[in-house]
Amino acid sequence: MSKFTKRGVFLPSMKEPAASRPIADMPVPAQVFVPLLTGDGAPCRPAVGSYETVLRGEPLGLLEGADTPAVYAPVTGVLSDLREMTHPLLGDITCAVLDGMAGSGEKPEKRDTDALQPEEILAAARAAGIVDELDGSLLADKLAGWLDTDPYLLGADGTEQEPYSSSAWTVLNEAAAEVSEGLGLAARAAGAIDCHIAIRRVGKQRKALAERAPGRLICSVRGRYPAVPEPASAVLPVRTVGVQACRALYRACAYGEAQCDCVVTVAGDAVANPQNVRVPAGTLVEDLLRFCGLCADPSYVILGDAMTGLAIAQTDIAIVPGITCILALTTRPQPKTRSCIGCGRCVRACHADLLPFEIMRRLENMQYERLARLLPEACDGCGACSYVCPSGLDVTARVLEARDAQGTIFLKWGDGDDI
Amino acid sequence: MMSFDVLIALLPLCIFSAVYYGARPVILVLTGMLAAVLCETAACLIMKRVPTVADGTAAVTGGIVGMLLPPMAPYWMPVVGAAFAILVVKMPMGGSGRNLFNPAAAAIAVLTLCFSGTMFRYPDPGQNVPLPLTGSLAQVITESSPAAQMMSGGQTLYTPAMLLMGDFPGPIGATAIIVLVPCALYLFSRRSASFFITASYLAACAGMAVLFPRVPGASNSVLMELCSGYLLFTGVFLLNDPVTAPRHWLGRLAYGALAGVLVMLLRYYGRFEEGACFAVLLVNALAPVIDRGSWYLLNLRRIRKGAHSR
Repeated sequence: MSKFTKRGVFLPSMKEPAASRPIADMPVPAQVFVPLLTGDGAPCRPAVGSYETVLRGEPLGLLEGADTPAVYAPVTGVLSDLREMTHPLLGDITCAVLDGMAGSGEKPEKRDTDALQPEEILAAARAAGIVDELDGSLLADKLAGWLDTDPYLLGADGTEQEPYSSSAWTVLNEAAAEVSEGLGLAARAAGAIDCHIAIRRVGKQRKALAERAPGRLICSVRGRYPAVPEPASAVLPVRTVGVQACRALYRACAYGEAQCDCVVTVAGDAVANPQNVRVPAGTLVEDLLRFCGLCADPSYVILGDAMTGLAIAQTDIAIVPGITCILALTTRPQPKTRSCIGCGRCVRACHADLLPFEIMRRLENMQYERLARLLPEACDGCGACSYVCPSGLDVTARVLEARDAQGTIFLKWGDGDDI
Repeated sequence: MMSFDVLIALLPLCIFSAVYYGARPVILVLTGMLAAVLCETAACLIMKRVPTVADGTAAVTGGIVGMLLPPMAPYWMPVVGAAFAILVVKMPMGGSGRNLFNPAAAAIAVLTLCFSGTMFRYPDPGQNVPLPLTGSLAQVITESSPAAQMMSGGQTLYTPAMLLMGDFPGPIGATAIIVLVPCALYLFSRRSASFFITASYLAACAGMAVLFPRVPGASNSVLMELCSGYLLFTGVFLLNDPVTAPRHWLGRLAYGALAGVLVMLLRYYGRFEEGACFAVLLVNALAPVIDRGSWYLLNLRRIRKGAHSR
């Protein structure tokens, strides 16, 4: 029924000039801060002693309890320190501080990937510690969870519907064949019926991509944000993995490489040189911004893209796979705020068919018991309601607050008729 | 900003009225706006808040109050109306965005009840003579409006062309049908007014006019009912107040239709020739219920599923 009215919002594209520039390789920074965590949040202990040298791609962290390597050194360097840090995405973590130096491990030989069994692919993904940049979860867990479920299609999500990010597009430009191979491996490992690459480009650019990834279905997704990355003819449900994760999976299977770096879009009006940069995992945001150059003093640095990103107060934050975009802006994207006038634009914009203004009002009025009926758990935080709000309110944050508070305040206030 | 869109849409109506009646209606509308802005500032100061005049909602309220007065209303009338709208209906509820009832509709309702003689005494626009700005209005030729003629059961004298051109007695801003329609289209295009509300409201009014005609001929009845009084103005400006209208598309359809039926019922059985402001107040009270009800109706399955899983 919700197809009766179209949902979502149209977003401007701010991808240029970063999208048409080649990926820049960041030189090895003086220090990188590698979180000693696996992708699913299990803590690790360092695999090497203090002031020992570790080569790029060699184990840096061993899983606590089981002695399997789970974290790999993104650069060649000396383990100089272990430091407690607070990360906006990961929480309180212990980071291994590597003093970086040039040089890398030996070049491994290419192996044949066609004969790999699904279990071998999953094992390779787990051994390489690949994190899916779409949601920051472990790729191996994600794929294994989809095995033996109802038939579905697997899509490599290169749509990048948010305004600034273009990292997936540049990765596809650079190594379409590897992404395509990796997607095939992922589909084989997770038992998908078919797979496709979803992009937002049409016409010539799509054709050029199809030539470089032969035999792979390329579908264009257009229209309102957020759109589902699926081919127009799809009848089965679509599940998605990231483009960078696909490439990392291929390299893990073919070369045995661990996921050491990630491609990040650096953009915003305070950045002198907007571009996509391949950074070693654990690089600090401030080092990356310095590499790209700042033409103005940024008043807002956003981890992630304009719609779903987090504004950060400090820039000494380690970049981990899962971050694909960093914005440095001189002005606040939203104007000053007024009170909700109830215009209902958020209802039109919500693709999950919720009543964001009503959730916000009930949260304000502390009517927690009546909040659960408005299904805030269906929100995926796409940010469309905040984008359209004429009063400049951060509607998304309030709805997410209601969603994440489900178990806590509802139990205390909501179901408590006995109070 | 939505309220500035509405102010822009009110401007051509003001100009059109000035063509027929001279400067007096413009001064009335400006008086209403000024009074509303001053009242809101004063209320904000008393409530020790930062004045919220800059968002334009007070000016819109005052402007709409002025628009719905007759062109020969005394100058204190928009002041009383705007003061009631702001000081009684809007600010005690918590100011912008929190009022339950449309302030302008409430002000017009009160003025209609208290000064019904003045409220429905309209000058004849056919003379094309500017109204005197000050002094006695006793010499002005008055004429009964189409709504009053239909109410008393008599034949109406107005041709469709006269109705479209606004050449008939009525409130300042509500007679110029030919200007109202582009204003509505402008508001739709700016998303400041909801097409769903206006369309279902007009459809309901037209349906009632066809089913229960007061003048012979279905098309004639529809045209007379839609153009007379301030029925169309209500559908464009009063019902589309973002604060008091529902937000869900189904709720908006139901809200508009209910308002249309009520407006027509008030015309058939009411005490006054035009009772649209009372209909607006009635549906305003129901708007939150309509909104939630329509959303629950469309999401019953999802809500049930959620209740089971929890």
